[in-house]
Amino acid sequence: MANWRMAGTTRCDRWFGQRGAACLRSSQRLLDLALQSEYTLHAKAKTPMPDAAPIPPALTPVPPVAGDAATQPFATHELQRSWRQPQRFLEIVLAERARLVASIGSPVDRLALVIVLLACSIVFALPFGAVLGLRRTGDVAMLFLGSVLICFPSLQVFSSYLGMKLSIAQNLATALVVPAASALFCFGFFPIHWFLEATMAKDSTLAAADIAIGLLSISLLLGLAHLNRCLFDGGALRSLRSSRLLLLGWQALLLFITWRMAGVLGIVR
Amino acid sequence: MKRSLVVLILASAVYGFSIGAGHSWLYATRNLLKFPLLLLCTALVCSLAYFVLARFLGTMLSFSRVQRLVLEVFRDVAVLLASLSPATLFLALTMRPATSNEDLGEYPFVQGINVALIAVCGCLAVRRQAASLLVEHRLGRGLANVLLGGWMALSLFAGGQAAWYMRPFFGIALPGATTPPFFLGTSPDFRGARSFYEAVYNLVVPPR
Repeated sequence: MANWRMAGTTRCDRWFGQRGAACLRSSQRLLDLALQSEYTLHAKAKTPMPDAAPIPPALTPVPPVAGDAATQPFATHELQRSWRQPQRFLEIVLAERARLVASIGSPVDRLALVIVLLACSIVFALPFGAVLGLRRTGDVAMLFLGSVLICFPSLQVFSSYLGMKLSIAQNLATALVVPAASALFCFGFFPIHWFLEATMAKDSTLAAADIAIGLLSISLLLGLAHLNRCLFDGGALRSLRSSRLLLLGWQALLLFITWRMAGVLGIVR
Repeated sequence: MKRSLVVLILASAVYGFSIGAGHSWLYATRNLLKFPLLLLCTALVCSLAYFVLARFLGTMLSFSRVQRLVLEVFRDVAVLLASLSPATLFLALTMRPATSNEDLGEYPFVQGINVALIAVCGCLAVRRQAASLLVEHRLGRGLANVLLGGWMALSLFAGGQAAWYMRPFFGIALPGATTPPFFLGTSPDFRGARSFYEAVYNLVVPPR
């Protein structure tokens, strides 16, 4: 118990600064404060706390816990770091969903996020395009990104018209989640596509090009699914929930335009 | 990881040998190389997709960890199948042989049993790995199942074509038949299918 109190005091030293720590060391009342802070932490971790009597929750601030970091917007230096560590693109776009949503909602440095999403949409779609043919390296990037950029003005205008309070950069970042996620899936699928291209007859009824259409469709659908779970699962973009119909309608338009774009690019015969 | 790789290669070679022995020693010895190659090729081709899927589902597994997990699933399947190889070898050696293209003997039965065994071993390995994911990585049960199901679907998608390209693994030894090449590749099957996907399609909608 003594060791435990000592640990609590040391932690308080860190949380409340030198002055608070001095007070803590000088009075039993403030030692209890430290114990309550411990209690708060353990309550958050849902583990029972031995010997700790519940104390009224008047003692603030509660120190930040590890879980809060998972919902913080990306800092500019984190986004910039992805240029040196390309695997970070995967974390930013797919894995750290709550942070991505928080970044879209945050007013700070959305331009860096938009640039990262744009780069991700282009760079990670290139290998799949290269398998389609060296001259068609940019086709997949064009397919996903081009379609989104064609549909973006409608998203911006309709959302403004219907009273969604999102800036152009926020809307653009929201829309770019689709091609960025789709491009990452294409990146995952490109070795499979290459393998099928190498092992399937080109003149058969079902050729590798047909399978490629299936893989691109799956990528696009997963990209849309990712956007929807970003928008509707978390609480950061709560204001968008009221416009669910608009967003679903916009996604239907995006699907249609992508299909037409695939025809123009010669991906679909 | 190296140990997993070695175990996977050895175990799958043993199973490959046992299924090839039903046809001939040539098939059996070829399968010593072909069956491990099939599993490794599938794992290699799908490696990026496994990782992207894991990230998409919100797990924080590293690339090497994902590959290790998938390799462990393949290793478990191979070990389970290798343990069944004496039984499959026995079945293969004692099946009633085909006499003509019309009378295939017990070949469809033995083939069906092997497919069922592969499915059972695959399910067991996935279930065990899901339990491991639950404990070691604290993934939710649903998430672990979806992740492993996704990995298996990817493996089936790419592995099916790999198996098609590398075929034959087993077959019917008809009297007077010529020796097939090491890989049949895109040569059509008896229904005219030239890829795994065409073969599946022809199975669902038989060609006229």
